[in-house]
Amino acid sequence: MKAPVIDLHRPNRPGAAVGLLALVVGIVALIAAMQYRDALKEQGEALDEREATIAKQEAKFHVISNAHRESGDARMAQLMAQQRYATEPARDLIEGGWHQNIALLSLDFVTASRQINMQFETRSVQEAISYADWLQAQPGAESVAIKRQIQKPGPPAPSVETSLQVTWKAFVARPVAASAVAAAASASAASAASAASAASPASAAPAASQARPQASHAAHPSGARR
Amino acid sequence: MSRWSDHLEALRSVAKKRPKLNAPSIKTPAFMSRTTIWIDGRHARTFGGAPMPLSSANDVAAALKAIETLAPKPANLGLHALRVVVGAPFARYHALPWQPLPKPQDWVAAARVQAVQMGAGTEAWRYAVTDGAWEQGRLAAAISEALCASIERLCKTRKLQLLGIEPAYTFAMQKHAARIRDGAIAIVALEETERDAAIAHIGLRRGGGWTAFIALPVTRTREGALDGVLRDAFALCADTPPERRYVIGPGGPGGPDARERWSADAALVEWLPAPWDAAT
Repeated sequence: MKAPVIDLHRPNRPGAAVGLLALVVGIVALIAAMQYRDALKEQGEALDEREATIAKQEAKFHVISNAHRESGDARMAQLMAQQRYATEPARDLIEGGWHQNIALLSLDFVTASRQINMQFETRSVQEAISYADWLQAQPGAESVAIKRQIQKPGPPAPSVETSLQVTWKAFVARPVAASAVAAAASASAASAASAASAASPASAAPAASQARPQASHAAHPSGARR
Repeated sequence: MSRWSDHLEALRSVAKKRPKLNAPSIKTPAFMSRTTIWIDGRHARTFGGAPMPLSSANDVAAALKAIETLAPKPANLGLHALRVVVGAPFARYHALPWQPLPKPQDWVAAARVQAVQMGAGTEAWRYAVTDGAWEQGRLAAAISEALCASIERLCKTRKLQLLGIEPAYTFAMQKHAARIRDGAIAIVALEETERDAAIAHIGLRRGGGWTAFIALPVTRTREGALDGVLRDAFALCADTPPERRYVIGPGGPGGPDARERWSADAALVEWLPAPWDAAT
C-alpha cells in the first residue's frame, strides 16, 4: 500500500522532492542543451573552415583561368594584336592566286576590317572572273566582291580593269598535312603545265586558267606579264 | 507453494540476522543527531527511552513541557533534527467522503465541518488532508494548533531542524506500508494509554480510498476485547466487514503474548508492531 504522509509542520503541501527533481532535471537538460549547442557550433565551424578552403581554391582556379583568358601580360596582348592584325593570310591569298596575266594596279590591305581592295588588269574578262572565283573558293576568304570592271581598248592591247574587294578570315585552321598535300599537288601541276605550255601559247589558254588559276599561272611563260 | 514459502522463510531469517541500518553499531557524528519524540495524553518519551508521565493528563501545556525536557539541547552547532509523533488526545482523524475538490487544502473546510458535527471544542486545530486519486475519500488529521505552534517555536529557539509533526496513525501506517496490502481493509492503530486501557484508531479503506474512521477505547477486562471493539466498529461504520485487518499495536520483541493480551482471535488480524513500542 502507498501510505499517505501527513506532516502538520507543513500541512497540505506537496513534498519538496518533486520540485528538487524538476530542478535537477532542468539543470541537466540545460547542461545537455549547452553541450549540444557547443557540438553544433563546432560542426558549424568545421563547415565554415571547409567552405573557406574551397573558396580559397576556387579563387586560385579563378586567378589561373583569368590568367589564361585575359591577363595583364603586355607581350601576350601584343602577340594577340599581331595575330589579329596580321596581313600574312591576305598576302598568302594574293600570292596563291596570282599569275602572270594579271597585272596588279593597286593593292590595299585594310587590317582593321580585314579587307583587300585591289585593282588589277587582265587581258580578258574570263581571266578576271576566274581569279575572283578562285579567291572565292579559298578557305581563307570570307567574301569576294567585284566592284567595277572596265574594258580598256588600249593602244598597246585591249585589257580589262577590275576592282575587287576581298574580306579574309583572320585565322584559318588549316591542317598541316593538307597544306603539304596541296603544295605537292601544285608542284606536280606546275611541272605538267610547264610541259603543256610549250605546246600552247599563254594567251590561248583561258579555259585552263579558269579551271585552275594556280596551275595556269605557273604554265605561262614569265614574259607574258607586262 | 511449500518450496516458495520455504524460500521466503529462509530469506526472512537472513534478513533478521543482517544488522539493521539504524542499529547503534553505526555511530553518528557529534554534529548530527536525530530525535523522535512520542507524545500522548498520559506520557511522553523519546524512541528508545523511558516514558515520562505528564504532569496533568490530556493537557497541551503539560505535553509541551514534557517535549521541552525531552528535546535535545545541542551544545554545538550542527544538524540536529527533531520529529514529534503525536498520539491520541492531541491528534484526531476524519475520513472525508468524496467531493470534487482537487487540492488537499480544499478539503480542510470539510474536515472542520465534520469536526464541529462530532462535537469539537472551540480551541484551534491544524488540519492536514492526504492527497489521493480522483473519486476516492480522503483522510484528514488534526493536531491542536497550540501544540504545533509551540513545538515550532521550540525548534526555532533551540536551532533544531523540525522534520515533522506527524500524527501517530499515519506515522505507523507509513512504517508498515510494505506489509499492508490495499483493498477492502481495516487498519487499526492501538495506542496504550494505561496498562489495561488503549485507544483503537480504526480506519477503513476500500478501493484505494478512505471510507470511514472511528476511534474507540479498548479496555482489557476480558479476553479478546479488541475483537469485540472491531466488531462494533465494523457494525457502526461499514456495511460489510473488511477482507483483511491490520493491527498496529504494542508488540515489539515479546510479540505473541502482547497480541494475546489484546486479541484472542489472532488468526483474523495481522499484527504489526507499533514503531513507538518497537524499541522498548
